[in-house]
Amino acid sequence: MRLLIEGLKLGIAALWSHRLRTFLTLLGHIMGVITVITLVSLIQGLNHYVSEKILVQGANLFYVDKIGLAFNEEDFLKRLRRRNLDLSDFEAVRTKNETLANVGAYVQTNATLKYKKRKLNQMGVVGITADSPLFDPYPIASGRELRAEDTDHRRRVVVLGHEVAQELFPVGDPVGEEIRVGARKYTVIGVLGERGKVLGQSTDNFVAIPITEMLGWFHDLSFFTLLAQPLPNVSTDEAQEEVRWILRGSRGLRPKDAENFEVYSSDALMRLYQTLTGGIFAVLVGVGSISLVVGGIVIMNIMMVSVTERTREIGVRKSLGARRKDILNQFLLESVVLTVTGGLIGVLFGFSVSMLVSATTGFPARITASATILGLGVSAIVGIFFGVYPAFRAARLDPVTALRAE
Amino acid sequence: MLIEIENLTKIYKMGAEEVHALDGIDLGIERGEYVAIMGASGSGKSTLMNILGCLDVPTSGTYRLDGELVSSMDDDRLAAIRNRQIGFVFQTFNLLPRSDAFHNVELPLIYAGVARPERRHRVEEALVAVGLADRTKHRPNELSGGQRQRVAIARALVNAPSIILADEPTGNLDSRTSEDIMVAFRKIHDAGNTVLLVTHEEDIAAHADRRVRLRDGRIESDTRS
Repeated sequence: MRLLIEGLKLGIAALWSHRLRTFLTLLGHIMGVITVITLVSLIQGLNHYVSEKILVQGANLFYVDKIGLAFNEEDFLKRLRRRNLDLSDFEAVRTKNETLANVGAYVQTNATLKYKKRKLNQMGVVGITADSPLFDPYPIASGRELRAEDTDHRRRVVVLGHEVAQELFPVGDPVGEEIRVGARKYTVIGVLGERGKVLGQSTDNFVAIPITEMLGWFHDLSFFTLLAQPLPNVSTDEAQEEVRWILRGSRGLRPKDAENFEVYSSDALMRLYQTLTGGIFAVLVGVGSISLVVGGIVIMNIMMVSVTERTREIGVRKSLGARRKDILNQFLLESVVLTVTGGLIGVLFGFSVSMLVSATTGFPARITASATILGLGVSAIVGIFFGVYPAFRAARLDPVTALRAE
Repeated sequence: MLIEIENLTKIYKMGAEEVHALDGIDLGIERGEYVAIMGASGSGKSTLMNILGCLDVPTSGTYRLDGELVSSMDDDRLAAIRNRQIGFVFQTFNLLPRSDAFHNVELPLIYAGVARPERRHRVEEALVAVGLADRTKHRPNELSGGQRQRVAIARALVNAPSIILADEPTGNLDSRTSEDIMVAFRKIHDAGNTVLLVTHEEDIAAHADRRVRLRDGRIESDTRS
């Protein structure tokens, strides 16, 4: 410990006395750390962002439809031929379940929206049951939400997404006005709060109408989806199991029949995302790490120079009683001080670069403690790995020869 | 007997040729002696000094220092012996240029694992002993040649070694400073230390009580005054 502190002081002093050389030597390593930290920050930012958006309705939420998460075209086409889910399935789950806090159903399509002279093409139209958990992340901004009476009576009413409201009604309150969805007229009863963009895509450019009314003119139920939220004291697995049994009944499946619907959770979506992106991210960071190796070689080189320059000093230290281990530690510590200093600078700049990228492109970056530890830890490893050979050379020097060096 | 050397040889291989730097040396030195080891360049005195200082090991023969057989020790044990038993004073001072006098003198204590407060105390004591109490914060390039050599002497003394081994300690100093340094060595000896002085200069060697002359790797004469 005493020698460690001593070595640390020595290392810092030795590097400080060659400030410019130290800095130039470190440049490569710093660049490497900046690259890796920037990549990691952007990747972590993206991951966090995606998980936040996917899991915004709660990690325990789950979906049921006939396609599910199809990983290839064959599966997709096979599942597409299954019997559609419909409102009778929804009603079965809604009335029979004992484990759900809330359940909803929705279908969606695109349509042109019109208000007087204003027109929006290809806007999302969601047909939805009343009180669906789908809209939990969207607090109502004005007017009211869809209610059971709207769906029961197939009312021609519409709730506008924030962006739609802004586009169609730049001034004035839309509530009470009449807009066209496709060819039909609907009365605006409410406007949803703003949720913002996910990966540059607006999440506020849709309208919601009662699902019963929509099914009067929209007949493609391939993507009819149930959305269920378990009671707080019920596990997702338990709730999913119950929903499976209810649906098997409502769809007339015999015990040995395979299920003709898919149950999947927000978690599963998140896992899908991680599977898809994990490999790419690992390769990215791996490629970025190549610059760390290049930086490390430069450091090894300068440490070799340092050992040669200080041969006499090594001889003197040995004559005063320094063991091989002491000399080894001294140079190793010096190399680690060097790379960790570089790592610190690299981490700071890496974070700055990611913030800059984030600010200019809107790409979500995230600064985490784990990235900082990674940057410093990798730096220490680089220091040890590339410092060990020069340090070993120094430790092995013969004291007589070393003392004779100029 | 502090130093006991029997039939010591050191052979260097220069290509196909063998050079007998030391060719059968027997030497005994008692604790508290003041010995000059003399000889022309090539006489083997540097080789003998390196072996006496445990910087090098002999090809054959035995070397006992304070009863310990050092001629067959490995690197790290030799380092420990150098640290505890030997205080070197070099012709070129060999101070660390970027460290101040205090730190230079402190180094052997650091390698000995002495705690900080104890180190401070002993370093200050050693610097006072060589008359440099007011130069502790000076770096070598801020000191005169004589002062540098005094720092080196303080460094040699600080760990209370069995032998002070001085290799041409006045070689880089003018004659007046040389006298000062020799007075310092006399004082060190009078305080009870064993001093080995390696030199080729007669007037420097005259300060010692005993003179061992080497020639072609053998002891030519061993005289006391």
